[in-house]
Amino acid sequence: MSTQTDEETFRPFFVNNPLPMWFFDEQTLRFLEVNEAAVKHYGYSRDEFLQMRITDIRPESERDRLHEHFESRDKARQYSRGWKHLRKDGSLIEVEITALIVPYAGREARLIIARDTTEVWWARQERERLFEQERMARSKAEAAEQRQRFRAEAGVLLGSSMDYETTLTNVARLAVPHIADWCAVSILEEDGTLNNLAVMHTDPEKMAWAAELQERYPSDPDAARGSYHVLRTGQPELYPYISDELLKATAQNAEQLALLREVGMRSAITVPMIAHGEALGVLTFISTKQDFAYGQDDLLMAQDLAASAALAVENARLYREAQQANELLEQRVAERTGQLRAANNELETFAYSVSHDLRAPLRGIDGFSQALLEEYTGRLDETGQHYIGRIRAGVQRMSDLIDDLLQLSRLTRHELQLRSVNLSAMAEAIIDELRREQPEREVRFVCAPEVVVQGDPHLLRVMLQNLLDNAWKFTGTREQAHIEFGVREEEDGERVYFVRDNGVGFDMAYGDKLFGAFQRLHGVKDFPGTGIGLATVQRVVYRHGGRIWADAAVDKGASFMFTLSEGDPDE
Amino acid sequence: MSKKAILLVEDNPDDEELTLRSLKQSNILNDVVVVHDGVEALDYLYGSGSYANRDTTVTPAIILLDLKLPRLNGIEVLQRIRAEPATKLTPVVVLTSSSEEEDVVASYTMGANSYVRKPVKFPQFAAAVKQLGLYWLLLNQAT
Repeated sequence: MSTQTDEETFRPFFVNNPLPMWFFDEQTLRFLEVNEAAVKHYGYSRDEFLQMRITDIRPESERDRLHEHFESRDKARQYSRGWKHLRKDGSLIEVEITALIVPYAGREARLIIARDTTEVWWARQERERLFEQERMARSKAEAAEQRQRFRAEAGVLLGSSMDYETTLTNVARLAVPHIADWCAVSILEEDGTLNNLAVMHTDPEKMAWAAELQERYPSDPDAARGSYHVLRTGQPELYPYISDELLKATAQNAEQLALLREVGMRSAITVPMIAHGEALGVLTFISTKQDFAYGQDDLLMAQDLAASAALAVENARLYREAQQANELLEQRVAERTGQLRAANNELETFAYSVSHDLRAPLRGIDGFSQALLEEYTGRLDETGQHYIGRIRAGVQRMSDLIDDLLQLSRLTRHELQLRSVNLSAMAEAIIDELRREQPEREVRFVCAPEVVVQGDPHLLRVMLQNLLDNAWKFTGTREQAHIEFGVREEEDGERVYFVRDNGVGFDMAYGDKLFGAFQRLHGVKDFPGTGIGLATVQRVVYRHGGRIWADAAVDKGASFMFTLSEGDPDE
Repeated sequence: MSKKAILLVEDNPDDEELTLRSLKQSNILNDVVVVHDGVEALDYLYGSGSYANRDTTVTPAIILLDLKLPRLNGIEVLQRIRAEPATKLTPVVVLTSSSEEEDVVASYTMGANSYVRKPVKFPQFAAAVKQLGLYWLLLNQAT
C-alpha cells in the first residue's frame, strides 16, 4: 500500500472534517498539521499551531495526566475522554480524543480527532445537579409524607382514649424513629413543675439513661431557653443546628456538658401544648442524625400536634371531672334513694301501726257500746240508746276511713303483677254483689263484652270496685238507675275505658278536687263515703301508666274515663 | 268432766274483756287462761317463769293468739309452738286487728289453723272452731 496514495485519498477527509483534527510529532509533541475545524475551534491560526506543542493547549492541571498517558500508552489506536483543552481565548473545553498512530511527512506521528464534549459535560453537570435537586426534593417529600403520616396516626391516637397519659406515651413512641430520635412529653403539674410523662428514644437502653440525666439535672424553671421557658412564654423553640456553644451555655457543669455531648443532639424542637390559652405541657423532638436539621415544616407540624395533644389532655381532664361529678351525683342519688326507701319503710310501718293501734281503741268503744246496749237496754231511755247508736256510727265511719287509708297506702306498696285481666267479667261480678246487697234497687247495667287488658288484677279490681260503687251510690235517688262500663277507641288508636251513670253528677267547677284524698263533693248525709275512693282509683290508673279524667254536670250523671298503658306500665 | 283450757294471748285489756265476754255469751265453759305477751305465753305452755309448776302435759284445747304482742310477737310464739313436739298439733287461731296481707300469709306459713279478725264475735269464732273440727269439744250447745 502506497503511502502517497493514501495521503492523497485521506487529505480531503482531514481538511474538511467538521471535527478538529491534527497530526503531532511523537517525539517533539509539535503540531505537524491542523485542519480548518481545529483552527476555528481553538482560535489559533495554522501558523501559530505549527509553532506550538500539544502541551500548549492543555491547562496546567492536565499536564501530569498527559505525561502519564504517554508513558502508559498503548501503541494501538486509542480512544479516551474527559480531557480538558485550552483555547486561545483562555476558555476550557472538554474533549474526547480519538488517536491514530500514523506516519506523517516521514515522521513518527499521531493523528488526533478531538470532539468537543463540553456541552455534553455541562449537560451532565446539569443533569447531576437536577438529580441532586430531585433527590433532595424527594427526601423532603418523604419527610413531609412521614410527618403527615405521623401527624395522622398521632391524631387518631389522641382521639382514641380518655387515658391521656397512655395516649401521649403512644404518640411519643410513634414519633421515634421517623420524626425524632428522642421524643419527650412533659405535663405541667398542679405544683407548677413539669412532669416527664414519656421519654422515648430509638435506643431503649438510652431511655433509662435519659431519665437519669433528667433526674440528676432537672430543668431550671428560670432558664432562658428550654421546656420551662417554652411553657412560660408559650413560644416554641427551634434549634436547626445545635452547636457545642449552645451545649456549653446549657450545661450546669462539666459533667453535664460531657453527658450532653455524648447524647449527640443535632437538632431540636420544643413546642408548648396550649389549649384555650393555657399551657398544659411541652413536647420535645430531638434528632441525633448527622446532616439533619429540623425546619419550619417540622416546627409547624410539632405545633399542630401539640395543640391537638393539649386538647386531648384538656378533654380527658374535663371528662374525668365530669365522671367524678357523675359518680358524686350517682352517690347522691343512691343516698336519696336510700332515704326515700327508709321513708317508705317508715310509712309502711306507720300504716301497719295505724291498722293495729288506731283500730284497737275503736274496737273497745264499739264493743263496750254494744255491751251497754245489750246488757243495759232496760236502764237506757230512747235518747241514751240513740246516743249509743251515734257512737257506734262514728266508730264505723272511722273504721271505714282507716280501711280506705290503708288500702290507699297498700296500693302504693303493692308490687305490680301483670297478667290478662277481663274487666268485663270483673265489672259484672261487682255489680252482682251490689245487687245482692241492695236487691230493692232498680239498676240497669250495660257492660261491653270481653274487655281484656294487661294489668294487676288486684289493683284493677280495687279501681273498678270504687268506680262502680260510686256509680251505684250516686244513682241511688234515681227510679231507673243506669250504669255502663265500656271502651272506645280514639283516632290515634288509644283505648279509653269508661264508667258512666245517670246519677246526681257534680259540678265540673270542682272537678280538679275530684281525685284528692278526703275530697268530697257531696254531703256525708246524702252520700256516705270517705272521699278516698277516687284518689285510690287515680293511683291505680297512674301505676298502670294511664290517665284518668271525668265529665259530669249537676243532676246529669257522671262519666269517668281512663286509659291504661299497653306497654310497660308503672316505674 | 273438766274441759281443756283455752289459752288467750292478748295484751289489750279491752280486747281481752270483750273476747272473754264473747266466749261467755257463746256458752263456752272451758277455762280461759289469759296471758299478756309472747314470753308469758311460752312460760305457760312450757312451764317456765311464773308457770314453772304447771303440769305441761296438759295442753290447751285451742290457742287464741294475737299477733302484735310486747316482747315476743305472735309470729315468733307461733314458730315456737310449731317447733315443740308437745304443741305441734295444738290448734292455733290467730287474732288480728288488720287484714294486712303479710300478716295473713305469715300466719298460715307458720302453721296457724285459722285466722279471726278482732273483735272476736261469736258467729266468726264459731265458724273458725267449726272449721277446726273443735265445735263440739268447745261449745256447750244450749238445749
